[in-house]
Amino acid sequence: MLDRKRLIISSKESALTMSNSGEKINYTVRPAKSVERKIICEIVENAELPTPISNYRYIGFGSFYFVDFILFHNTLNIDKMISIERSGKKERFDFNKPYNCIEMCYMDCNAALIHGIPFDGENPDIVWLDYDSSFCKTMINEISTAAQKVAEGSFIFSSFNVDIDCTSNPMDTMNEICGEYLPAAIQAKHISGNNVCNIIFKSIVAAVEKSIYERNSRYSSNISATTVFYVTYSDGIAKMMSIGFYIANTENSAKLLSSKSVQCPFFYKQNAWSATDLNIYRPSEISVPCLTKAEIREINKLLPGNTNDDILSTLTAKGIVLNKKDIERYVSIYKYYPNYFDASFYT
Amino acid sequence: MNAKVNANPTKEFFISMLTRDVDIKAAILELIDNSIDGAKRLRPDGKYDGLWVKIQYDKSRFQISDNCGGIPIKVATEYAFRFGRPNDRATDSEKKQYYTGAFGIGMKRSLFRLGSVFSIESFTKNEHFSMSVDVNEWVKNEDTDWSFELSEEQKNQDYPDETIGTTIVIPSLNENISKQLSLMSFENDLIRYIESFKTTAVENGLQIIVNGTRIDFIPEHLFFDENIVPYVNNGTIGDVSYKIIAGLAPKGNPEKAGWYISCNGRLVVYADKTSLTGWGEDGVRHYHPSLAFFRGFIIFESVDSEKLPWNTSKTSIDTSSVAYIGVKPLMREATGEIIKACLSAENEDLISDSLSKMHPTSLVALNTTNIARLSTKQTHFSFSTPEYKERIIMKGISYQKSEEQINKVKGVLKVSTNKDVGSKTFDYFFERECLDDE
Repeated sequence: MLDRKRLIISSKESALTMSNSGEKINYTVRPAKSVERKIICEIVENAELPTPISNYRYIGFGSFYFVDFILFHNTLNIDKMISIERSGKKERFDFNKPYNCIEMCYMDCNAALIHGIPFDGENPDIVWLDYDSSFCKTMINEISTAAQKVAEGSFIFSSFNVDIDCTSNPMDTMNEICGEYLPAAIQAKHISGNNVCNIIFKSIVAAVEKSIYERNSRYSSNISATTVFYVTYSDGIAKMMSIGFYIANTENSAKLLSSKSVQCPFFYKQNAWSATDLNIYRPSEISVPCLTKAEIREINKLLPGNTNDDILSTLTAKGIVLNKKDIERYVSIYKYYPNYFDASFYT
Repeated sequence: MNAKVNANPTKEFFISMLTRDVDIKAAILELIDNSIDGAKRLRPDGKYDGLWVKIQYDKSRFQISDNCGGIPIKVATEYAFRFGRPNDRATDSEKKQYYTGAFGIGMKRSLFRLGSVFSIESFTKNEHFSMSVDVNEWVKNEDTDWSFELSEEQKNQDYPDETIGTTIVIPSLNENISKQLSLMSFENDLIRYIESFKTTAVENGLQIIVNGTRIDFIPEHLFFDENIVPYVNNGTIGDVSYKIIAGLAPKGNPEKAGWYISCNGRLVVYADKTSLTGWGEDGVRHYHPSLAFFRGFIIFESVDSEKLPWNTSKTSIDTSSVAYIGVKPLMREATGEIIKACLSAENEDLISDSLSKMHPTSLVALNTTNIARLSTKQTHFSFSTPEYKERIIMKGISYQKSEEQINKVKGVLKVSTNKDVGSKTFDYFFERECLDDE
């Protein structure tokens, strides 16, 4: 069953052909994804880094649209970029590449990380393994491999679908997708639709920690992986999750944690570990409400500075009927909200 | 008069040899074994409800505590901290219990491996002692003095039941140990390791808790009903008794296939598929994933734990042990029997299919009760579910022909797959040339 889910979405293009009549959100636009992209941009842009962000290399899964590549080149001035694609017609990717600083790497992610992409151990990367497909063990392996390869001062992000069916055989399901990284303390009673992301989060963090430990043993280094990003979101029905790490030595990790990045509301609040209390790890939720342009304009006039309650009462007094939840959601992401349907000129 | 050559061991040498190659998880399991031996002495009836062993650690400190009876002062001063077993230690054999403490080094080795400072405190019903060891200081003392010193001792007391037990604390972990213990994945691995190498003590009510997580007793399983009876053999070699049970389990967990060897209730070898347990030797084929159904269990027991066929760190078998050499041909026999049954099915889906149609109660947990049920020798393994009996034995045929020829045949037969080409050409020939012979 999980194998079938993996095959469903392997590129953004096929994602666009999914339709669902019950949706309130236009899936072809993926507003939450667009918000996520901008948040990641903001986090890395405001970080205090060993070298300016424009010197970083970006590695991702561009698909035919290369939306993240365009954003990072335009906003962060990154001009060393590699897109990994496992399948699909090469001519189509080559044709749709928006900038000539993007290199294609036509192989699966694991091969790309191991031999397809050169890692010199000195120049840092932003790696975004944006799978979109349903979470499985190979993703843990690939994230761990990336953690071994990237130079100190790099970021690793990863996104995937966490719509896991936990109703029948929850332990078997979680064992299959998390493998040996599934926390041993987890029992069937801990596994629920809401908690699956926390379990996956903890499994990935444990795997990355081990990978870094092995790397430190090999190079006698003192690197650690700091979690900087942990969000959930859904465009349409599919529940998605993203996680991000900063791989750096003690000094640089401390610099990041005292830089402006931390002020981003979606920067991960570091937590203490607990064997079984999974509720400690609350992901930030990216939720894009459905509001008309007129409604947005009215809310924006009250931002920044007004509380959500004040905004609600002000609008109600004007005869604008919105519910509090939508206002809260909008205010949490208003700076990233697409004011028009995000459409790239290039694709 | 000839000059004397000093051949006395130095303490440094001793420690380095003792702790070399000791896996941390195995070292921790050794400490748990000691607690379990305490439980066995306290409850000779084998019921351990209410007894527990708690392990709590972080990157700077390790602690194991239990309520399994404590250590009498005489044992502490004469045996527990001595390296090796003095010959006059007859008490265990007399009590006819199956202990896991065998070589007199497990606890010490584990403690030296984990840290450079450790302390131990024990309360029995009537006695209490505590002791602290700074290994580096101990090593600096004259090499001829190998003793430790108790820092406190009280005898002839009456301690309340809640205090009875032993606590060992290592407040200063060795650096590389500390790094490993700080990994989240290590905690997972340790819990799984203890779960896999579980002892029957856990089954009998002993609670083992690691950093707040309780270890579950998850028994292995075998199919056992009127259609499928496991291979069973048993006997005695010297002071060691053995029981062999082998059979089939669901294929779904191939990593669990192989041989399991336990000594005095403590698993030593887990799911082995190597020549250690006879695979690939003397007529037995090498393990192959198509044999993922296979499960074999050998249970060794002896009141003289030194005679059991385990190695000193209890992580594997001492292949020169008499008991093991005696038993190995029987293991090969069992493996051979099961493989025969699997291979005669030809099509492994047939076995999966037959097994999956069996009633869930046919999959029997190998707990103490069920192991005791399997007592009659049964050296011919057979597997005779109804579907299995009625099967037609199928085999595959595979060959290469030129693409051009294949395409021509496809056109004539009006089929589209190579498989259909093979199947229909075979039927064509068989109907014309083979049916007349009957």
